Amino acid sequence: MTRVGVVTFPGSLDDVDAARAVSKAGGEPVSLWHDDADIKAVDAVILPGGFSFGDYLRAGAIASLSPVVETVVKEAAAGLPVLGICNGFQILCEVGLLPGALTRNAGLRFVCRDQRLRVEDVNSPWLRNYYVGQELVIPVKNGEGCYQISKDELSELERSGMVFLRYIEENPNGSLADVAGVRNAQGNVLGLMPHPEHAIDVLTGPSTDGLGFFSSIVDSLVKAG
Amino acid sequence: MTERVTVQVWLKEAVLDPQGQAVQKALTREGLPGVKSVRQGKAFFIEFEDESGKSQEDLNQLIEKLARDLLSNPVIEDFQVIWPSEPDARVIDYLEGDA
Repeated sequence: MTRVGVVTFPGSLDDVDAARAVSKAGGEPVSLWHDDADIKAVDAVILPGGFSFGDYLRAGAIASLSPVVETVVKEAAAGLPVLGICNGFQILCEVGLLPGALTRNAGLRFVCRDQRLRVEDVNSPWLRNYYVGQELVIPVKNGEGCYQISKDELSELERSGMVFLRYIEENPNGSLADVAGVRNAQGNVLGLMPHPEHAIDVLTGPSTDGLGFFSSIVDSLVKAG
Repeated sequence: MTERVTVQVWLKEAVLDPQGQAVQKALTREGLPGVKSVRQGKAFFIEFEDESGKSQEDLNQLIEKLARDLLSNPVIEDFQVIWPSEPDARVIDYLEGDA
């Protein structure tokens, strides 16, 4: 069975939901601890949402220095699939696995709502079960989700398909080019501000549109192995 | 000897600073005439006792590196290192009050 690690930092909120989403998609969630460099030979890693270390200094900045992230950075270079959700996305940007940075929402308010999104690229093991142009409804909930990057780097990302997810209809936080998620050039590292783990069951979410991230990684790794 | 370093960090010119904009409106509302721009940043007042025997140049490089990679994020922020710094009044008050 595909083993997907879910890291818990002090201040993580959505590690339990992420683990539940992995189970629902047919994988085996494995708890990982921020202070332990051992990632227990998992097949993929999720950095979940929340406010690691209270968002002190900058969102994700202190978590990016933790032993578990050091291991994740090393393994990601060797192809380990890594998904950062919300605070996890901020950590991946801080540690340099993904380009850009997340800053205070343009409206200065914490925004929590069901968000319409469009999938722009599926070249990633986390996106196997989506198609280009697919529209999703997934909750966003963040105070620092405004994606920032230089103009030149943004055009490079756009050219190479690394902006895989975009806000449609309304931009909740002022992100440049309505960017909701980016991947690295290889496609194994993915970060997004919306919370797919909150959209896996119609009992508790607006849709089941988020389940595809988790079923994609399970399917990709089963078929690869 | 106690070393005192101040590191100031603020958002790059090209990066939207909604907090600065909100403060700008408040300053104007409170009667400051002709406010053209406000950028909100942060400052770190660092004190350390160096007994490591590191050379001044090594320390310079280390502090510059920490300011660039830890205290600021080079993608969105600029920084300035002020070293040596004058003792900051607020830090001293706090330390004395604590003792």
